Amino acid sequence: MEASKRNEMVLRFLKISNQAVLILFFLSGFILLALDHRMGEVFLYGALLMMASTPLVRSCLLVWLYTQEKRKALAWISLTTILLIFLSSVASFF
Amino acid sequence: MTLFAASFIVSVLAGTFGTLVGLGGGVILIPFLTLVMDIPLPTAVALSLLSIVATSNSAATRFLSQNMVRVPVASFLELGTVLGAILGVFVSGLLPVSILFFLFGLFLLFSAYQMLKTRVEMVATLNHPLAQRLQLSEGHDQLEKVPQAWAVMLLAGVLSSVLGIGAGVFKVLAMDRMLKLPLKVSTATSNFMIGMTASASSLIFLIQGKIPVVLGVVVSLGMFCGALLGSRLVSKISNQGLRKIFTFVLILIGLQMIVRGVNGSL
Repeated sequence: MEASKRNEMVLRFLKISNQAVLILFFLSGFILLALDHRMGEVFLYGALLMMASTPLVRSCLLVWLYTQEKRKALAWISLTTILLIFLSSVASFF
Repeated sequence: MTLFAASFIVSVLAGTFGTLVGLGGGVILIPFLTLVMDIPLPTAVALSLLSIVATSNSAATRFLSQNMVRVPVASFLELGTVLGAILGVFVSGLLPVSILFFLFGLFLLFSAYQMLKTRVEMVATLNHPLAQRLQLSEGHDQLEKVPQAWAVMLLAGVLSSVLGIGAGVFKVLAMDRMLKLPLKVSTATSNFMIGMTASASSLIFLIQGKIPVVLGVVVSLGMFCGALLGSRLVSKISNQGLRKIFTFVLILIGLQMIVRGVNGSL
């Protein structure tokens, strides 16, 4: 796989994620809030969760793409970063 | 309603400015939320982290489509920042915070002076062996001083943990001064990176219920729109123009750090 193809796939993922957050959740959340429906805030919370998790999912996608490119060192570096963030996040709960 | 509108407008400004210089925008958003909106500092910090993710997600789409992000470089440097941040948690009680604020404030002023002196864009003339081994460079890029840049990222991570500051400014500096990437590429890559570290923290704050949902959405939307504007502006500004804006930001943050260092030691 070429670098440009990898960037294209990351870009496509980001566009889909951004559109889902903006249109599917933010818009419907605000419409439901305006209608005084209690699901409005749930939709907005879901949107924030989806938005906040996008960079982590993007990094997981990159690990897969690096392995497809046979860039093993970069795949391991990205995987280590994700694991460190995950472990430190879990540790912060205790 | 007026406060929500004000938050949205300030977020748009913060997102535009943060995307231009690759820092995220917390430097504008946090003072507004705490001083004008009267929001407690921990909530303002949580909102700022969430908004950084919005900036990164939004700006990355434009920068990636313009081929301005060096994804392998981002992946490599990110590990340094994360390791540094974890290391910082363990050494935070051992280091004199006020002296660190003062010293790194001076360092930023010195970097600003060096930036001002730079008249011509620095271009790397040879590819570091580590860059070759890890296949970090793509296309015509050459990357110099790769271990030094990684060490700066490690230090930036430690500083962000110990001093509670964003590490964006050090990310851009490491890529510009050490790897010798063009400044636009450095800020674009920094924008891509900042989302990753902010992501985990903002998820924790969201799950813990420390982020007010509606305000979080308003601020995120504002930052999202601001980042779209900022990423369009980056392509219209010359590298030298962007360098002047970044130098101005370096001076501001450097002075702010020196003042905090002096105040802390009094």
